[in-house]
Amino acid sequence: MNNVILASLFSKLKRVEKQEAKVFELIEEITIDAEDVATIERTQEPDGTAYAFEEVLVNFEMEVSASSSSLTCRANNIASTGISNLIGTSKKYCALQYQAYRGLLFTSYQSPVAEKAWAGNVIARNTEVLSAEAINSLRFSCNAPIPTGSKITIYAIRK
Amino acid sequence: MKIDFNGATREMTAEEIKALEEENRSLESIKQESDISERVKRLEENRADTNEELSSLRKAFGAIRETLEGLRSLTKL
Repeated sequence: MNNVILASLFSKLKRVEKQEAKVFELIEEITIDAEDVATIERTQEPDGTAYAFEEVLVNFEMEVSASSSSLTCRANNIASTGISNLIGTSKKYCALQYQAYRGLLFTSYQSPVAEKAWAGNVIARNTEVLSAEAINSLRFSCNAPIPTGSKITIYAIRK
Repeated sequence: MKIDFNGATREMTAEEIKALEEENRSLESIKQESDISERVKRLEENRADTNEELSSLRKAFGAIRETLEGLRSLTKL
């Protein structure tokens, strides 16, 4: 009887451990240090591991520019999202989230704010895309050079 | 303009730049439509508020008229 109870407890502990293992990891912190960079694309981690994430969180910290620009963000070359006025005459912060869940790809982002805080409206935009089992690539592009010193930090939960 | 692809920076090709411009034009158009929708929604909300206020004013006016008629009938007595 005690063995049955112990076996049941171990089984539950394994499930809890498995659930607790699903946390966001820092994948890469990208700093724009070259002039004229308008597009950032990633299909692999810095060590060469191909992207295969079930969830991605991107933090943007955009330096000042002479004019306002929007950033177009894509996951898996689909799910295009335009974040308006992410680049402008004052420093801006923003967060973007992708989730691949049961074949669907969900996108949500926070409208750009002046301080590094989870403030402002969260704009949820659900994009139904079949066969999006994982997030395999990210692309951020602007119609003008992204200011040097800007940072794009990528966190992810692995599939 | 340049692209940073997996950490390696290179010049974008003419095709890539053209695709980028097209993408931004398309998103700008979607944003404008969204802005217009938002403005229409706000105008409709304002109209609903104005109608409500108008309705309250009509009721108040009706009450005032009733009171005046009551007073008139009292003065005739």
